[in-house]
Amino acid sequence: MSERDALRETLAARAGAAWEIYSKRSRVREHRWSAGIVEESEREETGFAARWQRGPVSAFAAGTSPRQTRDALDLSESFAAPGPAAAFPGGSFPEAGPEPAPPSPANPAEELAPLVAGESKGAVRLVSVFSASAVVTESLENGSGLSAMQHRSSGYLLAQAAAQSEERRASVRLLVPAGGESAAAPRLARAIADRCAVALKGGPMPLARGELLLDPSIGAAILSATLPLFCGREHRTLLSRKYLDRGGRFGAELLTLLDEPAPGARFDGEGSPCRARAVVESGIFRSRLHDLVSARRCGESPTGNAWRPSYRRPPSPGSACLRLVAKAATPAPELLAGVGRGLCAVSLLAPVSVDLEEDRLELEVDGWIVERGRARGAVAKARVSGRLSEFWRGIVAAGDDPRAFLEATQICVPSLLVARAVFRFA
Amino acid sequence: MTSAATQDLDVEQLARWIEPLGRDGFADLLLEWRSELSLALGGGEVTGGTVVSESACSARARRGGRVVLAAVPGADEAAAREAVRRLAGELASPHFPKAESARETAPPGIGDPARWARRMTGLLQRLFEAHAWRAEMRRCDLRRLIVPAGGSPLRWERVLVSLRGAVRMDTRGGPRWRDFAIHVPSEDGGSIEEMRHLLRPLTAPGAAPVAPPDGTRDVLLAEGAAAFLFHEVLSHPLEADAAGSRLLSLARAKVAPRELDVWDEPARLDLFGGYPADEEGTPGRRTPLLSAGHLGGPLRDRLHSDALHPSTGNGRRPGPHDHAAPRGSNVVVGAGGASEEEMIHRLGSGLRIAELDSGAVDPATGVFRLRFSAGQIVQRGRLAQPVSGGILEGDVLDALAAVDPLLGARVFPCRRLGWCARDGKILPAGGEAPSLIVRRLAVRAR
Repeated sequence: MSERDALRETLAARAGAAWEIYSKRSRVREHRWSAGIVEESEREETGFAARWQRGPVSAFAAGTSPRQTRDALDLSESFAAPGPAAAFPGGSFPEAGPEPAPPSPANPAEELAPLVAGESKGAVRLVSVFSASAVVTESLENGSGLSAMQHRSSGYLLAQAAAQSEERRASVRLLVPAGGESAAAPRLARAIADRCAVALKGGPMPLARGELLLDPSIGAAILSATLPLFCGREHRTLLSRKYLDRGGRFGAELLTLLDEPAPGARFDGEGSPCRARAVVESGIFRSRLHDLVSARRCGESPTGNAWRPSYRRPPSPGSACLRLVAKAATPAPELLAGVGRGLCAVSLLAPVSVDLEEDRLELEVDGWIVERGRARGAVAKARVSGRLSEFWRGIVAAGDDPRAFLEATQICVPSLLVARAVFRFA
Repeated sequence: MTSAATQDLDVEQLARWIEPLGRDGFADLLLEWRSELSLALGGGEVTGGTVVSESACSARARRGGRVVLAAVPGADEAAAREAVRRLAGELASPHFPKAESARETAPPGIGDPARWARRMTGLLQRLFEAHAWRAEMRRCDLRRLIVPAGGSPLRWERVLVSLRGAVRMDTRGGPRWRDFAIHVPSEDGGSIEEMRHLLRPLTAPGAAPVAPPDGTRDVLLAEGAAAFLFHEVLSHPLEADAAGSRLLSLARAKVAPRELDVWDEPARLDLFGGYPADEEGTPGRRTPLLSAGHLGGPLRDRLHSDALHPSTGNGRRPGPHDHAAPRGSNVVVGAGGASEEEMIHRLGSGLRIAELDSGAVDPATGVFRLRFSAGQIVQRGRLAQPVSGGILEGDVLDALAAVDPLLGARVFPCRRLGWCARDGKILPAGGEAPSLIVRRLAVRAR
């Protein structure tokens, strides 16, 4: 009997049909360039996670091999907590094809370094470039008869640069999905040089109020921090109480938030089929994102949003990819031209600070003062604060430049213009 | 966790496999066994628990300016052979280990931390019995075997316990939630007693906290909190791979008062960041970061060392899947001679802070930030109203120059400093420090 068969039999003996085995195999290739040193990795990682229900309690254990997982079952059960029984889905999915090998990640460091120097006239130095590509194979089986497998591929690139003028120093980090337009070396070089230039030249913020034009990277960070509002049961009451009006409006009318499966994914972390769905449509809240347990607790249907960033933790409701789609996209130059007086924020200096309970948002950014559609001067360390709910309702235009970013999940957002004078600049 | 797994391994054979790959630079094998128990507690009951038992192995080698790593699941002879085989393939080396000599061995059992967990749960229930509270306990049993090519194999094990949560305290302004975080490097009775000592004051009734006043303030970092500051402003900027760090170009410069001595001390196993040897097999040793106010040398791993500047025993890896990088361990600050009362009197007016939550530094710009969850206003040498959470900000060099020469006589372990993340790699870090004053730090509410 194989180790996996033994784990399956042990779970069936404990829990009847109320069990699930999730396994994950990751094959990752990494390449890091820094100061002339190259670090390469070829990694393989496996994990097996078991979830089961015994009487009123549900338990979870995980290990590198089925045997290690089986050895952890007793201890895990001694700390299991009462919880609603998850009705594990049955069904079947088409056979997954053969597992592809992860490609060697493209590392554009040697191409990027002179481009960065050129774009910045020598003021900016590329410090490191890290690139990774991964192929993940997930399989799921449960006591309801489900047996499914899928392969997913992903990759990303992280570039770091530093700059120095007579009085100031600046550093920039850019994390982008590999293979996309934003990972192209000329575009990366320009983005790095622009961000460093603002940080080196920027003065204090002269405005107390105004319009706010956000680079897609900043909008993505705010959306990522807002996402928990829509996931599961935890913030259900809070969403209704503080963020929705009587008509269920969450944001501006042009705003649509689409939850999409990860590329290549056919089922979520519990075996429920996943598909794209609108979380917010034309500003109106439409759908909460659920896994099996949160759906049961809320008395709603599962939405195929059981998220497993690691096999080490039980699944939780989440989104693999969230996309902000605007009803009408405005070309980016027109967006800038439409700013009467305000701030064009180009980069974040610290993680976005969002307090969902208190409905608070605070950003620390570098950017440009814009007057009558023209950039007037660089600003460093501007602080923007206000209500998160007012931010989403105050969006008046979105650009035609959507870009994908890796936050806690993949987020795709265009430039956003917030026109209401609800932010303070300090 | 039993030690059977490492005893069953033929370590000499592992050394023979990796040795040929280290001839043109260095090479090593790292095997890791890790088990982790996580419990969520609330309302006096366990609300969720997970148990994870893992093992992994990697082989690594350097060729000139190129370092290659191959990592596989499992930590037995078969896994080690597979890791070396893949590494040899990546390096185009003809030195493949023989196939027939590898054995699969059983992973170690994960022991029974149940009794410990019940004691911890009981402790929290008794301490907070009249209050609402929630907590997360995490116990990590970690064992590592390092086999450097041409060196002696080393094995060590650690138990790391983290407790995070919040308790609702009664204040004269109404009930308020107060966060706590404690990280201790042991699960024994002494650690549980220390946790009891640290948690007990949290529920004491008192005045309602006010928001910390925005602006520039003198700050007294008490009860070991100064170790958190120096972890950010000294340890990270002095890591040999800290790109563009201002401190790396100021070796031996006088940047702080001569009364101040700070070391990185991995061999202090009573602190959270301690280890007997780093993950490259270099024994941990004391490295001066600040000696009589003068900057010390960088923290080095093998990649960032040479014949004149050997590794300082700071080549750390979160696990076999990661490359080594120079990272700090325990920040230890030398004591002065002042009592706690004298320190408050010396502060005059400002803030006393003992509970730092998290910190960040950009070594290139020298800007650092520390978040605190609570503090107390000091007016004319006397403790006044408590304050709620806020942020301390400053420039690394300005802050070092602004440290007051009067230091507390008693050193406190900093149990709030625990898991430190840099570039996505998370490692345990710790420290101890006396009370000290930093003048003119920017303070703002959060």
